[in-house]
Amino acid sequence: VRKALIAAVLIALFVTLREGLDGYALNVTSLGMIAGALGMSLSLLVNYAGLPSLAHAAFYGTGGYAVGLLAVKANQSNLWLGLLTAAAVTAVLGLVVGVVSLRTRGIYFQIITLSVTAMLWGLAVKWRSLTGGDDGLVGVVPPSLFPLPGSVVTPQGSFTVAAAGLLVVTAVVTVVRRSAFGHVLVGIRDSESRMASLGYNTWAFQLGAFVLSGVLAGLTGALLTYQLQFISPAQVNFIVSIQALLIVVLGAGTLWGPAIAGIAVTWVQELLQSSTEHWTLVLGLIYIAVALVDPPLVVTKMRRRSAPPGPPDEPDAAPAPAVAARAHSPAEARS
Amino acid sequence: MSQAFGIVLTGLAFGMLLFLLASGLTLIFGLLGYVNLAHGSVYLLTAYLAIETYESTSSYPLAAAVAIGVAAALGVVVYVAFLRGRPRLRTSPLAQVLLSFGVIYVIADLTQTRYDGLAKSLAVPRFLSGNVNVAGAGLTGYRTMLIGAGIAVAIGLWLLLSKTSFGASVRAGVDDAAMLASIGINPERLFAAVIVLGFALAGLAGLLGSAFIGTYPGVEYFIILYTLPIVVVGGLGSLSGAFLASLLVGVGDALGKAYFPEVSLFVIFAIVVAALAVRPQGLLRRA
Repeated sequence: VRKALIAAVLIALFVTLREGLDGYALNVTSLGMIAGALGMSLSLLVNYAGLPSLAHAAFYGTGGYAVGLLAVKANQSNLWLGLLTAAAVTAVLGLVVGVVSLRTRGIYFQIITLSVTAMLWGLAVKWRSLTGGDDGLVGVVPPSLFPLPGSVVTPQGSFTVAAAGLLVVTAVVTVVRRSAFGHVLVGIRDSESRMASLGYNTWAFQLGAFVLSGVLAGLTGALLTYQLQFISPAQVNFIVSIQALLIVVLGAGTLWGPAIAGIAVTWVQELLQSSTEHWTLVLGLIYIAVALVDPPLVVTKMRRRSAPPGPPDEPDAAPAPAVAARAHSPAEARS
Repeated sequence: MSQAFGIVLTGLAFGMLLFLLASGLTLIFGLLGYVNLAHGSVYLLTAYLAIETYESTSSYPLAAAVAIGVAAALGVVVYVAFLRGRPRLRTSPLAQVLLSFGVIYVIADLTQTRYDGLAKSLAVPRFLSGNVNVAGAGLTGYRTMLIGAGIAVAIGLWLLLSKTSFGASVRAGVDDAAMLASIGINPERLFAAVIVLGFALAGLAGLLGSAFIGTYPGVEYFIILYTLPIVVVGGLGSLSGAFLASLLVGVGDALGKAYFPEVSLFVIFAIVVAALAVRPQGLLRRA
């Protein structure tokens, strides 16, 4: 009953927003849902596998370049074919990057994944003949939905695709979290040596999570490129990785948190940018506050006291606990 | 021959500039376990301040005092406001990344507002430049001076760490901070001192670099992307490792840019990834 209720509320929300918002608001919300999906894919690694990777921009950008090149160089603009290509390319990338970077732990893992992002960013900037360098690839046409009729042209269409993307990524992460695989991951996060001595090949599980998370990020990046009809090195910039981490942390370790935090962060940033020249300053202060307050810890403490779920100190995450309190998930998102 | 010489000289000078930044970064990490990704922002800010001070007063010593003083003061602020008594920020890489980026954004906004986002560089003072820009030959004198300054700082830091009791405490702290506290040395004061030292070195880099690579919005990312590999390849907490790695990256970067411009960025980070994959804890492991 509860599941049906949530589904009904989501569908009602979707229809209301889709019909009620103007083109601008729809676009911002679509970008927010894509950011949420990216955060969601990263939360699989950060929250459940305990691996705070900074390589997510690499997957996000690679997925984007995959469909961008497909559209611009090969004149192929089928949505499904594009997504399939993005998934395949990022799966291979995830396998290679995972094998190399999972040799390290802690701060070394962060630095090696950051370097991977910087590497691909360097390629995107310098390999002008393929990527167009800093100018990026212009002219990614709206994708066709063949064999379904039509293509994604209107803001409403993009909104639908972004919502579907967010839903799929969220569903995959939820299923993984509740599967045996997900439970083993959490076990490894809490004590790798314990799981290893229980006979689990911890490396293989972490690699699996890394690849899966990377593919989800790649698909999300493909959606972003279709939405913007453009790809440039900005999508592979490591700042994207950092922002995804912020979204994960704001998600407060809850299952649905990153999705909501992604939409909230995008809107806050959009509103700040249009209302004040000093939006970078405010953004910086938000980052500092999140670092000092640690939303996952706040949520954990509130649940322990079994008080009615209220917003943590960070306003951006305000809606998160209300939804997520019902989804059963351990709130510790510590590394 | 003379072209290759110029490239190597530029590379060495750039390497020394990177060493000024990497040495502070590696000391702070070694002792506190804090990776200050905002180290490049200290450079960004102090380089701007040095240029502004020099342009308005024509006094190089005053510019130096402002750059290094502000950097040290910023170190105190970061330590007191964010790190003192917050063990979580010393153990959680996730929180460190977010905090660092908060600081990066705040400094980026402040400098953007004050300097309108303009790229600036310091006109090299005559007494520092030797031969001034003879068409194509570049600022050879200034680069030589920069190399000298880097070596002097390296020697100074080495003496400080190996010959003084302060240095002994720092080295002991890098190895085992808890043990240090148990023999009666206040680790908090040591932490503060090392942060101030590291930030002051970044301020010195801002002063010297302002006449070399200059400063512009985004230079903080450029710097962190170059210094992190150095710190990692040299081994986190290792000063001698940072020195060697700085020279390698500086010269390698200059050669790469001159001869393989298409892949130079890619290669630098490929080296880091390879180094970490082979030696997951860095190449050298002693302070």
